[in-house]
Amino acid sequence: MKKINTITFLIAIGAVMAYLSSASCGNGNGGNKTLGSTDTGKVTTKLSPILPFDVTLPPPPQRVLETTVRRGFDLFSWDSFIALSWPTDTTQVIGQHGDNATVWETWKKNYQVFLDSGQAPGSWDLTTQSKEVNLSQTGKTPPNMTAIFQPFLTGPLIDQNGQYNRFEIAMNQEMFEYIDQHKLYNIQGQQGFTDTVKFPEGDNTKKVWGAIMVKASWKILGKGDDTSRFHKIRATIHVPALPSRGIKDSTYEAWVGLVGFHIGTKTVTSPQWIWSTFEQVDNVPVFGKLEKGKHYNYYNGAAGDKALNKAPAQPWNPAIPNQIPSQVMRLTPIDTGTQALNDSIHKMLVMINPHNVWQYYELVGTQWPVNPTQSNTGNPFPVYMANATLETYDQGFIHAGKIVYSPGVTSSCIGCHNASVTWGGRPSDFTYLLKTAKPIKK
Amino acid sequence: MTLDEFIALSSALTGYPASTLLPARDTQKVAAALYAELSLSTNNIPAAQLDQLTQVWNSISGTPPPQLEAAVNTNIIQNLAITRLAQNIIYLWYFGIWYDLTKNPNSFLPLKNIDHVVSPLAYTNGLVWGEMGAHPMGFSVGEFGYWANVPTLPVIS
Repeated sequence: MKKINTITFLIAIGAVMAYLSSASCGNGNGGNKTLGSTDTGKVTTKLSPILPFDVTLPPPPQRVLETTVRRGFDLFSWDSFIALSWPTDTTQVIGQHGDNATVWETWKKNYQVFLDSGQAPGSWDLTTQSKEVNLSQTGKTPPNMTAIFQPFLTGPLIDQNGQYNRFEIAMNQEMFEYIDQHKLYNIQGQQGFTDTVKFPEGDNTKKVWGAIMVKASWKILGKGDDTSRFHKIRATIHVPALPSRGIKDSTYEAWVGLVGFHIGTKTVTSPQWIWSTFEQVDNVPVFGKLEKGKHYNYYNGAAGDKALNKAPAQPWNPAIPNQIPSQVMRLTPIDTGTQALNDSIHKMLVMINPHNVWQYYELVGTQWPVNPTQSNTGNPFPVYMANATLETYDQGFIHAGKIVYSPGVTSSCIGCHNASVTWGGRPSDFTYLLKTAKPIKK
Repeated sequence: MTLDEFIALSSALTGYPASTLLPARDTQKVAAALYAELSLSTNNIPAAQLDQLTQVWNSISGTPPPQLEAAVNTNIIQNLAITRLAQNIIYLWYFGIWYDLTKNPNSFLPLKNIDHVVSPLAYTNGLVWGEMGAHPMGFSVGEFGYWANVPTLPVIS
């Protein structure tokens, strides 16, 4: 059997699916597993808990950008999503009991790395770092960066119950250790760093994982939500103070459901990173393809489209009463090949358990650098890509009934992250995380 | 005019290889967007003019490369019946803009109704930016701090 570290689907006529697996190695998360079909007791699946090192593509003669190459990257995305969403209880397979605590939720959160005190973060410890789930962000970027990004129309996403979405960011051990070893966890450390920031790269040849960062978008579960269709966690919800409205800083606990998920993976073949984005399937309708009667998380068929994909009026604070829900549509439909792959993976998840919660997540797309050495951005493809819960207001705009995209304005993972910098004024290797560092408190 | 003819003619007119104008891994779809301008009814391109340009190009396209530039100059640029259309094709590639065929080609007066930017990507991918060692206003693929570096100058050797 051919040895590759991924689920591989062969695109032949009609997109025939096959699964290939390979040898034993770690999964990048501290445990050791054997690649290939997973068999835990009575449950067998071809899905794998092993994170891919890098993308695996067909031989050059068979590479066609929009079909076979896209499929290779989409497979990489799904492999990553499955492995990251795998149960922390390694005796289980994904969704065996419907929902499960996931591997990525044991990773370091951004607030556990970039401490308010500016001090060195604690060492990598899967047990302790997974116990804290504070959802304080109400925009795509952390509160202390919001002002910087207002020109990009970043704003809160409000669900049908008037609740703000919450967001969190986590990173894998390889990324954390690079930050830790180079003392990039505070402003002074970054200002003193005179080298080029270059996170580790995943490599199929060396069988090593590179830096991986994930960004999750959560909705507070409530009226109208079918909770069996969400990956759920109990989280501490933070409400920031807004003195002008008499709102005090507070926290409360609530069940939240995963609605959006970004995965950024640095690899040797994609030094501009591979950007994968997933959504919960009930989020939004596709522009021009409204399913009447369907409950959407962020669209109300009776509300009209005057405010379609527009950020709510300021001030932004989740405790302001009677907030108008966001009215959101997906402007760019999911590619048909990507959707076919989604359908195939969903069938595999249902085979594990008909109530498998992960069947309700779909790959929206994968963006990668087509010519990594051509320019700093490496000619990204697709040119634009947006997650309706994370780049809600940057999907493009509608003019005279047509969708208009604008380079430098419409969401492009690589295009936007290319502008990221450290506190030392140097490119930060496609992550804005370093800019969330604080100064050392003396 | 077929897409292949358009690309080959455009290569001769712009000086850029066909593989640059229409890359094998075409992410931007600029060539297709520019080619579509030739069949856009609102551009008011006289069919006879387009046919003549196509015929003239086909009659000289087999000219050996060292002599091709002179052949294009003699048969297209100096040919008053088709030079304006050829000039518009050059403008398309360099600026991403279609200009009204009836207006003075050397005038950059305010845009008329027919003048239009083909698409945002056609504009940002205009060849002029590379020739200037610059980037279009509001869009750059340079990394943070690139403005402190000496511009990279013309691609054409």
